[in-house]
Amino acid sequence: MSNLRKEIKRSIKNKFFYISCIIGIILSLICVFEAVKDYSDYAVSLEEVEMINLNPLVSTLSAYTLWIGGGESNLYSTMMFLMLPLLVSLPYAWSYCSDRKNGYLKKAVNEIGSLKYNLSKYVATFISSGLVIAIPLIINLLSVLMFVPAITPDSVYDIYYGVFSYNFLGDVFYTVPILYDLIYILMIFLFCGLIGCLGYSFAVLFKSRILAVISPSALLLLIHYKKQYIGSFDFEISTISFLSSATNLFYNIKTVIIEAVILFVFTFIICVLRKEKNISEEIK
Amino acid sequence: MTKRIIISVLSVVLVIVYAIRVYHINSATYYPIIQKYKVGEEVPIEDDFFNTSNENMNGYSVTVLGTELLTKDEFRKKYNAFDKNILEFSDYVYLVRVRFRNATNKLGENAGINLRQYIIQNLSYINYIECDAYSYVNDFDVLSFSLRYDSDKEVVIPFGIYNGHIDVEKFITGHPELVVSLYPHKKTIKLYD
Repeated sequence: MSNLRKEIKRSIKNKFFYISCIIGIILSLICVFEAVKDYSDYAVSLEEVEMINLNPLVSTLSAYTLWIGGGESNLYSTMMFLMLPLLVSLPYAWSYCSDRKNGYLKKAVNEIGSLKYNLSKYVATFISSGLVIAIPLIINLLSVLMFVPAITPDSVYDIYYGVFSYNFLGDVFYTVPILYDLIYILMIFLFCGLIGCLGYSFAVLFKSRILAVISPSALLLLIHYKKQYIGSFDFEISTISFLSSATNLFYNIKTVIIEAVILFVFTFIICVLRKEKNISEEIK
Repeated sequence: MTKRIIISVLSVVLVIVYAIRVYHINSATYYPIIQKYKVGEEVPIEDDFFNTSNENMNGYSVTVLGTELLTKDEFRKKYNAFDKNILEFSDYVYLVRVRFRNATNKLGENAGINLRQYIIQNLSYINYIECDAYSYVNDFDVLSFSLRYDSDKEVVIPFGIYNGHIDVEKFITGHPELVVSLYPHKKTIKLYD
C-alpha cells in the first residue's frame, strides 16, 4: 500500500505531469474564452430576435452545450482532443523509460517484487493519466458555469443537442444535466487512464522513450483518420472522436466499453502480468 | 497550523464567491416560463407561439378531453386503416382528443392552429403528429385550420410510438405532456394523473 502511495505521488509530482496538465488547462481556458464570446454574441442577437418576435431557442445555448464536452467544437477543443493521447501518455511512458535507465526500476523490483511493483505502477499510471485530462475538463466546466447560464436542456429541441430518448442517459441529460456531464468526466478519466496505461505498455515493449510516448498517439490518430473506411454512421471507432463530447461518448457507449475492455486486457497483460524473466531482461 | 487555517478560510471564501457568481449569472438570465395544465382544463394560447408571433393564435384555446393508447393492429381494425404505409414505423398509437376553441380571434384565415407543431413530450422523448393516421381518426385531413369567431372543433391527434425510441410502458407510466406553445411561455398539458 505504501508503495502504491509512493508511485502515485511520483506520477503526480513529476514535471511531465505538470507540463501535460498545464497544456490541457491552457487549451481548456481558451475554450472558456470562446464559449463566453459565443454566448455574448448570442445575448446581443437575442434583442434582435425579440424585435422580430421569433422563438430565441434560449435553452439551446447554455453552459451545458458551450463547455468543452458540450459538443460545440472549435479549433482549440479539437486541438485538445487530438493531443489527448500524447498529453496522457507523456508523463508515465517517459518516466518509466527514465526509471529503467537510471536503475530505479531494478531497485524497486528487488525491494518489493515484480508483481507488486507492476501493479502499483499500473494503478499510478492509470490515475495520473486520467487526471491529466479530467483536471482541465473540470476547470473548463466550472469556468463556463461562471459566465454562461446553466439552462436545463429541453428535449423539444433535441435536434440541436443530438441527445435522443434512445441514447444512453438521455433522460439524465434533460433532467440533471450536470450529473450527465460529471458522468462524462468520470468516463473520460477512466478511458484516459487506460490510454495512459497503453503508453506504459509501449514503454515496456520499446526501449526508446520517443517511440513509447508517440506510439499511443500514432495508433489512435491512425484509427481516427482511417475510420471512414472501417466505421459507419452508427458505429464510431475513433477514440478521439467519441471522447470529444459527452453526446458522442454516450451515443457510442457500446464501442466505448468494448474498446475499454480491449485496452484494459492488453495493458494489464503487458504491464502487470508479464513474466519476471522479461523484467530482468528489460533491466539488463 | 496558521497556514492550514488560512488555506481553509481562503477555500471557503473561494467557494462562496464562486457560488454567488454562478447564482448571479443564472438569476440574470431569461428562462422560458413553463406553465403546466391538466386534462380537461381550457388552456388559452394568448400571445404565445411555437416559432414566430405570426402564428397569431391569441384568442384560441386548447382543451385535452382524453387519451387512448392502441396497438398498431387495434388501430387498424378500429379505423379500418389497412394501407401498409399507415404506421409503418410505429408499434403503438397514442390518440389525444383535443378541443380547439376560438373565443376572441377575429383574424379569420390569417390565424389558426397548425397541428404539425404540436408535440408530445415525455422527458427525453418527443414526437410529432402521425400525419398518415390523422385522416383515419378525423373526418377531415387538414392539419392547419382556422376557426370562425366563437366556435370550436374537436380533433383527435395521433402520435405513433416506436418501441425502439421509447418503451411503451415507460411512456405510459412516465409523464407524457402535450406541448401547445413554446415561447414566451411554454405551455404544456399533463396527460397523466
